[in-house]
Amino acid sequence: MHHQIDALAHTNQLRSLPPEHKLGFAAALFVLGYLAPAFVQLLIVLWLFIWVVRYAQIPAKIYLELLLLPTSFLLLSLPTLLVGISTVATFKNIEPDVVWGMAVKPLYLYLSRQGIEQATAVFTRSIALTSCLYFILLTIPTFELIRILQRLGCPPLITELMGLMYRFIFILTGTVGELLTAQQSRMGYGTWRIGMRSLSLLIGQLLQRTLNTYHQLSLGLAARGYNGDLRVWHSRRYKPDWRYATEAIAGYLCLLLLTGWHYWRT
Amino acid sequence: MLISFEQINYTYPCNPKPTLRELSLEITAGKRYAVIGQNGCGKTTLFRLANGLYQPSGGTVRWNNQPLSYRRPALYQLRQQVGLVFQNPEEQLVAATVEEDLSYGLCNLGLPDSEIEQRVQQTLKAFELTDLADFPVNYLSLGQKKRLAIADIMILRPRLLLLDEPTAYLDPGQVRNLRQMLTTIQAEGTTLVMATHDLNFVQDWADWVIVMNQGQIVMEDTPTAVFSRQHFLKTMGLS
Repeated sequence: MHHQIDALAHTNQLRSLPPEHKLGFAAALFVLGYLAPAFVQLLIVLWLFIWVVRYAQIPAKIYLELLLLPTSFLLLSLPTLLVGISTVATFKNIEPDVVWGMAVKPLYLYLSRQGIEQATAVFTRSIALTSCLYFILLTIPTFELIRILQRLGCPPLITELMGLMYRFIFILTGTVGELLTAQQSRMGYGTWRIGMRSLSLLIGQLLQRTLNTYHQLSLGLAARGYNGDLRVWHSRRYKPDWRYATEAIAGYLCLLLLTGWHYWRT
Repeated sequence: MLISFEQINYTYPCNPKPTLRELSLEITAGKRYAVIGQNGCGKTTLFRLANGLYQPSGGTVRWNNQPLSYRRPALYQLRQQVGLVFQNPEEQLVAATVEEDLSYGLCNLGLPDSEIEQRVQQTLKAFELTDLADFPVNYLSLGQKKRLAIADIMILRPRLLLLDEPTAYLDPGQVRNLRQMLTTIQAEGTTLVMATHDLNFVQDWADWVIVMNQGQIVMEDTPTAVFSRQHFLKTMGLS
């Protein structure tokens, strides 16, 4: 999944837009999504869906699958908010909060009005904020995010480590893929028992090979004059698009006004 | 004399047997050298000694007739002039995009941005990588990675280029392109030393062939002379 997201971040149709503009847009929506009422949060989800699927040309199926991932975790946690437990004897105290309930003596299980409100707030907020994060992940390649962090004054040690980790993820998954294929070609996962043995071999080999790759990469760095600093140069190939900028600013102001109107009314 | 090895011994810490034994070799400027030998004969170790990555356990490596200094500033200078392309390009590509990777060595030299930009653009063009400038290194094909690894070193304008198995993993078309690329590089005044198992390539390309066996140089001569001794090559497992 990581490689797929990374590949989409490199090939999406919003790639040519300045990454700081996209990050700024998503960050502003993130803040608004946190503070706004539920209906505005849902509007954010819908709007970002249009940005990701229509403008960035990310396949809707992939985007929905990605959204489903955190949503399933969220749905699992919702029953604890929705369902209240009391005793039949104290039913009178909770009666105003009960939407629907049933007695399982001596307990009383009920759907809580307050719980529904909380669950709605948690659900819409989470999905809105997740959409913002996915917008960043799917339209801005990792190394561009690292560059932005560098420009924002993040310590070089952290950004260099992030860059190396990003590179290592690919080397590591490549090694896992090779080992797995080699094992499968020799019936390494025929039965559960053999599979477990192959898996332990794979993990052991992976550690060994990772250490070896690390050593070779260190030599590679040294051969290219590494002096303790992983500094690189890059040209700027981005083109701001006024059409997108206008939509982003106008849309954001509308959402902001809707939020203001909501809080003014209540 | 560009670089010379005098009575070099080298033993890896985990291996009791020496990888290089009393090895002596002289490389003169402007020629195309090919180093051939079975796996484990010490070709890669020799290249890493030339680049200052390894320090010999005995003997002296001389660059421009001066013994190598293993102090950091001296090594930076050496590595600018002695470029080493690894067998596996994955081990040499460190940045996220092609353009960034090309600029890495130049940034280490502390060159101004304007010069870095100029050299990067020139190298992208020379190695036909312009379309891939902003392309992530992770998604390049092996042939493209190899081309980038050579470009990464050539951008530093080395006087000596060491290529460790450059034809490994390449298809015949890519080998042809590599050959053209090397001809251009040599025409610009770079001395080339290549370790390879591709004897056909060596026969057509090299000016001088060095045959290694068990950490020693057992023969060096012109390709015609070396390949005329088929019986000897057979005993070395190279025929």
